[in-house]
This record gives sequence, C-alpha cells and structure tokens, in this order.
Amino acid sequence: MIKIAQLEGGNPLRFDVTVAEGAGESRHEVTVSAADLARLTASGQSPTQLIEAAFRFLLDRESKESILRRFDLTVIARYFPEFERQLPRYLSQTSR
Amino acid sequence: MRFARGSSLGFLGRFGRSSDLRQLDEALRAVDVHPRLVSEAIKLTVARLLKEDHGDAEPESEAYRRAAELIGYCAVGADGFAATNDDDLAQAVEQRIEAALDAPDSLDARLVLLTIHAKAIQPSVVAAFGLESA
Repeated sequence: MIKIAQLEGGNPLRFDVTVAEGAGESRHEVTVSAADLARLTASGQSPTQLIEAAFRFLLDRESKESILRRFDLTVIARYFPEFERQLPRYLSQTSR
Repeated sequence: MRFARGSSLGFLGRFGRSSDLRQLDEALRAVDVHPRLVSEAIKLTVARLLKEDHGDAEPESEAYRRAAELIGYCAVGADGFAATNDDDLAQAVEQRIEAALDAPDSLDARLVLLTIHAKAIQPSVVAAFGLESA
C-alpha cells in the first residue's frame, strides 16, 4: 500500500509517502516542480496519481528499503532511464 | 565476476555481491544518492582505494560513509547534494575537497581524482573548485 500526503508549500510540491509492503513501512519525501508536474501529467492526472505511479514503477524494480528517503521525481530517470517512457503505463493504472 | 582484493559484483549486482560493495551502496543511499548513479567500475575502485588506505585491512563503516559523501557530492553536484542533505554536511564535504587540493596524495584527493577520470563529476563541481586532473 502506498499512502501519499501532500505537504504544505508552493513550488516545488512536496509529498510525504509511506510504503507498507511485506514487513514494516518505509517513508520518503518527494519533490516535483510545477513545470515537471505539468510535463509529466499532460493527460490531466493529479499530483498524487503521479507520485503513486512513480512509486509503483520503483517498487517493480527495487525494494521499498532501497528507495531513497528524499529525492526529486526527475532524479529517477537518471538511474532508471526508462522511467519517463514507461510512466504513462503506470499512470493509467493509478486510481483517481 | 571477481576482482582483486575480494570485491565481487555478484550476479546482476545482487546475489553474491561482496560486503564492501554492499556497504558502499548503503552509504550512498544514506546520503540520498542512488547507487545506480555511480558506476560499478567506480565502486570497485573506491573499495580498492579504501582497502589500500587501511593497509589492506577491512575498512570500517565510517570509511565507506565518508567515501560515499565525497563521491555522492561529486556525482550530483552542490545543489543536488544540498537538496537532500543538511547544510552542515554539504559544507563539510566542500571543506574536504578544498583540503584535498592541498594534499594530492590523500584518500580524498584520490577519490575526487577518480570521479574526474571517470567523468562522474558534475561540471559545476569542477568549476567551483578549479579541479584539474593534470
């Protein structure tokens, strides 16, 4: 289960993400700029859907314990180059 | 695959991965630098440099942490590092780079030089510290 809470603040948007999978939980703080949000959610998805899709992408590739504690969403593409190419598929699977 | 001094990449970078590389991966995560941002070749060299610096004894976890701070800072640059680490740590790493310039044979100097030779250093870091590998 992925729980996402948007934190206060403007740009970049900040999110507190809790991943409960198997034993225990992991917590992460994720940022995304307004410009990146608009670019990555061109089909009108919400910020929360974007974060959920990004975490589903990550969890398909590494354990929750391996996900960085704090990162900007765009950093993912630096170590998983396929991220932005595959993101639409993950976005289509998120709940609105 | 095995390399000198016991470092092992294991299979797919996971199964059988040697303790030194796993410690380095964890140390990189601790400074919020994803281990995949640093090539395996660099990590193998870092592990070798740490062991050489420790007289071929097994380096303590603190040594991996300090190496990860320096390598991570160079890999993501000042802004990227400061975005996910506190200012004190970022400043401490910058002081270490400054000190390394005056001690070219030090471990820190060799780690910075490694990132330059491997083209794993942000241009902004090279410019900020006037780093050259000549």
